Amino acid sequence: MTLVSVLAAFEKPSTSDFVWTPFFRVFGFPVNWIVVMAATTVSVVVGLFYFALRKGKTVPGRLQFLAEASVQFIRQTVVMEVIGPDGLVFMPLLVSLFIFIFFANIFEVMPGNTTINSRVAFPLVMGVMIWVIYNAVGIRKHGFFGYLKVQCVPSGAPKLMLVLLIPVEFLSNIVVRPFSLALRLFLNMMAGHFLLALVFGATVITWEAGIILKPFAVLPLAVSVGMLLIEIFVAVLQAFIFVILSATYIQSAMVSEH
Amino acid sequence: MAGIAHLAAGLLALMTTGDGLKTIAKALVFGLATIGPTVGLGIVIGKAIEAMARQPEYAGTVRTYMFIGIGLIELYALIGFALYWIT
Repeated sequence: MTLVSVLAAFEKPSTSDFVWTPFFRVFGFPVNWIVVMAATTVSVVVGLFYFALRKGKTVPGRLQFLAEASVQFIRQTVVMEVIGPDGLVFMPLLVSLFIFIFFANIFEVMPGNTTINSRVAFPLVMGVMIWVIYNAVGIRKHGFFGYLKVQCVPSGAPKLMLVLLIPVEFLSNIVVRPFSLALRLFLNMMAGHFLLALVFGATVITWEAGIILKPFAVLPLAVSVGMLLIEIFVAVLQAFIFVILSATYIQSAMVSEH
Repeated sequence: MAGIAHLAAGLLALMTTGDGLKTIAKALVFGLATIGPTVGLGIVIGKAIEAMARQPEYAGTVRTYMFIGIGLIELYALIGFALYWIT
C-alpha cells in the first residue's frame, strides 16, 4: 500500500474514542465498557487489600508489604507533611483515593483501552466529594461565617483591597476547586490516550507504507515505548497530585489563620 | 518542479479555506497555551532542585510542595488542550 492510502485509512483519535455503546441494561442503567472497567478497578483495589491484610504478619510478605508501603507513603509524604498529626483522620480517605486513581489510570496503557478517568464523570464525582469534605471540615471547625472569613479574607491585606480580594478568593478557594481537581485528572488521562494512539498509529503507518519505509518503523516504535513509560509515570503522578491537593485543601480549611 | 508548485498551491488552498484556518487556529491555541505553563514548570522544578541541593535535609518537604506547584500550574496547559477539542 502507498503512504497516501495508509494515511487515508488511519482512524484519527478523537473524543468519540471514549463513547461506548451499552452492552445491556440493569434496571434501566446502561452497563458499558466504562462501568465494567470501574467494577474491575474496584475489585482490584478491594482484592489487593483483602488478600494483603487477610492474615497480617509482623514480617510482611510481598503483597502485604505493597499494601503497607502505599499506606506508609501517603501517611508520611502527604498527611504528616501537609496537614500534620490532626490529619490522620483523613488518611484512610486519601489512601483509598490514591490507590483507586492509580489503578484506574494504569488501565490506560492497555492497548485499545481507555481509563474511567478519561471520562469526566469519575474525576468530577471525586472532586465534588473532596469539596464537600473540606468545606464540612472548615464549617465544623470555624462555624459557617468564620469559615468564610478564613477562606475569603486574607489576613494583613489593606482594607481597600478587600473589595477586590474577597470575590477573587471566594472564586478560587470555594467555587473553582472541585472543577480544577477534576479537570486536571480528566484532561491528563484524555491527552495520554491521544498521545499513545498517535505514536502507535505512526508506528503502524510507517510499517504498512511500503517496503522502503519498513526499517524506519523502529523510530516511532522507540518513541511509543518511551511514551508508554511516561504515561505510567503520569498515572502515578496524577494520583499523587490529586491526593496531595486534596490534603492541601483540607489543611487550608483547618488552619485558624489564613 | 511542477509537482512542488502543485503541492504548494494545494497547501495554500487548504490553509486559506475555512477548515484549514480552523485547524491552524486550534493548533495555535494549544501551542500558545503551553508556553506559559512550561516556563512556570521550569522555574518551579529548577528552584526546587536548587533548594534540595542547598538543604538536602528538607528534600522531602520541598518535593511535596514542588508537586503541589506542578499540579496547580499544569492545569492551564491542559485547559488549552481542552479548548482544542471544544471548538
